[in-house]
Amino acid sequence: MANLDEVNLNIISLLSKDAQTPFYKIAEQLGISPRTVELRFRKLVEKRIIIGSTIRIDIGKIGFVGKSYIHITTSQDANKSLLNEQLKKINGIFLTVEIIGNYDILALLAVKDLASTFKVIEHIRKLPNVEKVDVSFVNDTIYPMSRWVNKQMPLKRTRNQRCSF
Amino acid sequence: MEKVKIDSIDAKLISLLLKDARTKTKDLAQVCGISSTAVGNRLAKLKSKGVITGSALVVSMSEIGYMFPASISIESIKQEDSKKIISFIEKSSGIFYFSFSFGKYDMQIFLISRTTNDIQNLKKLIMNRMHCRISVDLWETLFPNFENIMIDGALNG
Repeated sequence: MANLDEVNLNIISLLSKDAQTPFYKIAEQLGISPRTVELRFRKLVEKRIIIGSTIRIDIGKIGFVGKSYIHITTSQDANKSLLNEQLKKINGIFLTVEIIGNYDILALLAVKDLASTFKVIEHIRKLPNVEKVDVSFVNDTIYPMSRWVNKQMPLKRTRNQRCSF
Repeated sequence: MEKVKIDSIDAKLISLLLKDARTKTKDLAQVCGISSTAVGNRLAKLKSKGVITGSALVVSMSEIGYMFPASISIESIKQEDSKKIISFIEKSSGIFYFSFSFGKYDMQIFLISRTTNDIQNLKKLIMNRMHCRISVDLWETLFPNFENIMIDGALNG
């Protein structure tokens, strides 16, 4: 686990609000030089603490109506990572993750219309080692799904922990 | 919802920015084969039409102490309980996404926490507040690769 100092935490927290903030604006707010911000940012990326940045888009505006959660139960001797790879190749599936609990794999599918979704789910049902498929639909179209991160998790320092949300 | 018409250059801009929101306008212009001014205009239009709604930083959660991603799926939520659960969820930390759904489950909550105890506590809190069935799944990967979102596939599909 990384030990982050005050400056790094502030940089991360400002970028969490808007990942496209220019370095000179961050520098202004923190009272340091733009060069320092840039070096710090590069270090954080090198250390893989900051993995990258992305934009949020509303896929509802480009022809999607929502997304669906596909909870999959596999057979006992299934090769989960192989199945994971097969799922990733399906058009429209934007996230798959192996899980432990009631189900074995969770896949997220961007939904365009009922017919194509039906087809994808039928396709998944027929994949080898798939035992049960449970589907739920959501009409939320913001993409990716981390829309709560910024609002919910302000970075702050606490006494006992190095940093916390 | 009204649909915004986007052409192949818009789609390219979006997929480039999804991979790295900090890509310089100059580089975007070069890859797409248009001028920097045209990039600026197109992005402004995509923003004003509500296609691009913001940006997000992808941080390694394990590096800052959040080791346990999980999803909580809730069945049979009563109508009167749904408002209660929203106000409660907005206050609890670690939840990075939630939404109501229909189908097998009525609600999905995605969270990431420091210990498995935190997840257990949240589950207990929800169960104490209302009558519903909850299932918890721990995620195997620390954090899904949002930077690898397959928007290209989604756009073409």
